[in-house]
Amino acid sequence: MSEIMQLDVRVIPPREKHPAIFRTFDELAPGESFVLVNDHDPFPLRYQFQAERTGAFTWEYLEQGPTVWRVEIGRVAE
Amino acid sequence: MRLTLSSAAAPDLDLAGLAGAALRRGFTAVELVAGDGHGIEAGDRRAAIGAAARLAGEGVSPAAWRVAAADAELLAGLADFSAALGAPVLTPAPVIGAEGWRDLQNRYESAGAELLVRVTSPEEADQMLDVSRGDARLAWDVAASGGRIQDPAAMISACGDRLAYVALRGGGPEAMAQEGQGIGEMFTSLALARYSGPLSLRPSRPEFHRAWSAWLGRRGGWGCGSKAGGGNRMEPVALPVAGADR
Repeated sequence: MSEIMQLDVRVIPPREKHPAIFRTFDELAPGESFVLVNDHDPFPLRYQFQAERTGAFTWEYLEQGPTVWRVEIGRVAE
Repeated sequence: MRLTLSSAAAPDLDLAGLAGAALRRGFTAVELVAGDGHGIEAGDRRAAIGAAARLAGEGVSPAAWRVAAADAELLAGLADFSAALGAPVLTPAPVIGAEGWRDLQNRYESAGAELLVRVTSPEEADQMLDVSRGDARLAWDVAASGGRIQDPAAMISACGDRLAYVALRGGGPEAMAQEGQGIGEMFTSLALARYSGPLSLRPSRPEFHRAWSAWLGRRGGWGCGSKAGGGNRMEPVALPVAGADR
């Protein structure tokens, strides 16, 4: 186990990916973050976050392809 | 977690081919199953050193050496090999008492090697931790009971900080067909537990080998007479889709 929370969704069944991501996000304490790993740019997810967790999240690309994308998604500190 | 390709997904490939297949999917680690086509004989220390160097040259690391048998004498004989490979031996639980376990563990520690014991349920994890007095490092061989992974959070809790490896049958090209089996929940639980070790993937059943072959970007088909001679041709692969009959 490590201190870095990482969710790799590359082999999760497609319809279970976003619920897994949002559940992980919702478990974060304010100021915490996790690294999302995917096999394509998850930018549509960012729009979903903007719609459903407006102002509550941060989004930072750590790696942008061509094979793997890593995004650090954080919960805004209160 | 670190996604890892098991050689069971491409058991005919040599080491370089296996590393290439892993990298095409963005995986930087491989699990080596004893007896697969990677060409490394169990116990051959020199071959292990060479394999570790060749994999490092490809930018891939060996995540584990998987054996089918749990004979204590055989396992003891693999300690130097494991150290040379730079990867733990992944074994079913050996049938030995606390003293036998301590001897085995000492053998690995003195060789600078590591032994991971495969468990499939919280009860097995508890048993192994009892026998080893909390010393064993555990590998969760994920089994879908009744078509679903049962309570992953309970399994992760039972293993605690001794969880060092996770092996999943499926994923990859089977992901679509595994909807509803609890894989999303399992990955979420692992992430929330801050699990950062390997998570190896291999076909759940032999009939998926062709789908894996395509998913790994390999040319040609599978088995005798199917070696790619005709360039890029690849036949479409049909997978059962969960809920398709709804």
